[in-house]
Amino acid sequence: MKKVLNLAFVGIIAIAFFAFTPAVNKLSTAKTHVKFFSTTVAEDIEAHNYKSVSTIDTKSGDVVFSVPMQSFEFKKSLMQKHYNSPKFLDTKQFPKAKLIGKIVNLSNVNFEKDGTYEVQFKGTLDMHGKTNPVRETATITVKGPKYLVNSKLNITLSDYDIAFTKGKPSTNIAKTIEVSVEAEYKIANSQSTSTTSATNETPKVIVMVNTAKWCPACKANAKRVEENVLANYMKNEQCHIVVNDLSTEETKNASRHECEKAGITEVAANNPATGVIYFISPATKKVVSQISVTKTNEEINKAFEQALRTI
Amino acid sequence: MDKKKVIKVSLMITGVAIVLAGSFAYYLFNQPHRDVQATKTDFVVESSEIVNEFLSNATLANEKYLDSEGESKIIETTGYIFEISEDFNNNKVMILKSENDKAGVSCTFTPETNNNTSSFKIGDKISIKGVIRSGASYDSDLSMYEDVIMEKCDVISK
Repeated sequence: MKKVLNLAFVGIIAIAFFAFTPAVNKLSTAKTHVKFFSTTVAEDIEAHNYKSVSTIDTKSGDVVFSVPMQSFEFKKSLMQKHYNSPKFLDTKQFPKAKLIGKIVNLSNVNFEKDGTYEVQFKGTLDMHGKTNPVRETATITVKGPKYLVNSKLNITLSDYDIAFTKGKPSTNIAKTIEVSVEAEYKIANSQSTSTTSATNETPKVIVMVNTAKWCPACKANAKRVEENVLANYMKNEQCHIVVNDLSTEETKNASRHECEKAGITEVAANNPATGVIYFISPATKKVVSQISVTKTNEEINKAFEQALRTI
Repeated sequence: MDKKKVIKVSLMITGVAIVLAGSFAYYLFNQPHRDVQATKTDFVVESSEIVNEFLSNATLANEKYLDSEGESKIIETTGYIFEISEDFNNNKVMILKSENDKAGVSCTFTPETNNNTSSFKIGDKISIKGVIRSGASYDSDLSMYEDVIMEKCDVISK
């Protein structure tokens, strides 16, 4: 018979892009693929998992990757049963595996610019009740509002008390298993991750920033407004920022989804002007004030404060 | 019975036993995966309710819902659609979550059932059947609540 085992993953980083990404510092994803592969003379065994959850802090480089162990699918059902059983991964007792660590060369990544960056990750993997150090290389591909991470690591099963001393598993399962990870991160905010943020309070004001790659006013003022104005709003708990990126059909779709979640689909559709910041009341879903990004920081802040007072 | 006959009969019985044992081993080895949708539902539960069961006592809930060989309970859950997306396998993923819930139930469909989700949109009420893979919990490293995970899902019409 066969068997199998093990797993893990890795996470990583990224960020970026044009006009008005509000000062990003946390990325999250539930769109992941973890695969493990074991090869011996006797046979190749692989299993796939699409249900992991991960976050990356782009300021500190912290990475967390949580893997639901029962979501690994094998080709053969018997193998899957063996993998889950108390003799091997004991997934009822240990339903999740977790990778925690840091990107050690965070400065190699330009979160503002599309491209592929290589990073070093250092951390620990907790699986089957055992924790071991992990050190791996990963790539981060920054592509518009998406941050793709790919990595591979090798896991020695005996490090995690997954041991086969006799029978077929000892010859059919490799001692070291290759784990590959891919994940597609997005900027996390209180309402945009599938997994719910702990601090999910109703905002006092929704700030919708209409922007586009082709909008000259956006380009000219992006950096200034982002760093001096929007960054402060991000820290303000009363504030929920929605970046309505109208560059292409793809970004429009992504933005529409964000607007939907904030409940401002209609307001967004009625106010398509780019290079404009709209302050919207979450209760009435109406624009209480708006201002062009070409205005000074002081003028924008004044409009913001006025909006807060009006709501 | 002479000695020869005894040997002959024993050999035949042994032969049949070997063939049977072999077939059984072959059957086990190639046993197909459990058909979740064709399997009887173990629990019918609101999405908020199952989330709260895990958040209030994870040990009890794991004991109730998870199986030690991975053939965990088949659940029918009803709730409001909070998010619709696709995974790396191009399967639909729906998260059921009510406004005041800390976590939701994340349901992944299959190539056979993906199309059954097409008429639903965010905010709709829906009933989904699938197998549970893990429970909801607050993870302090992620600083987030993790959803209950269900896979091999299909929409149930009520």
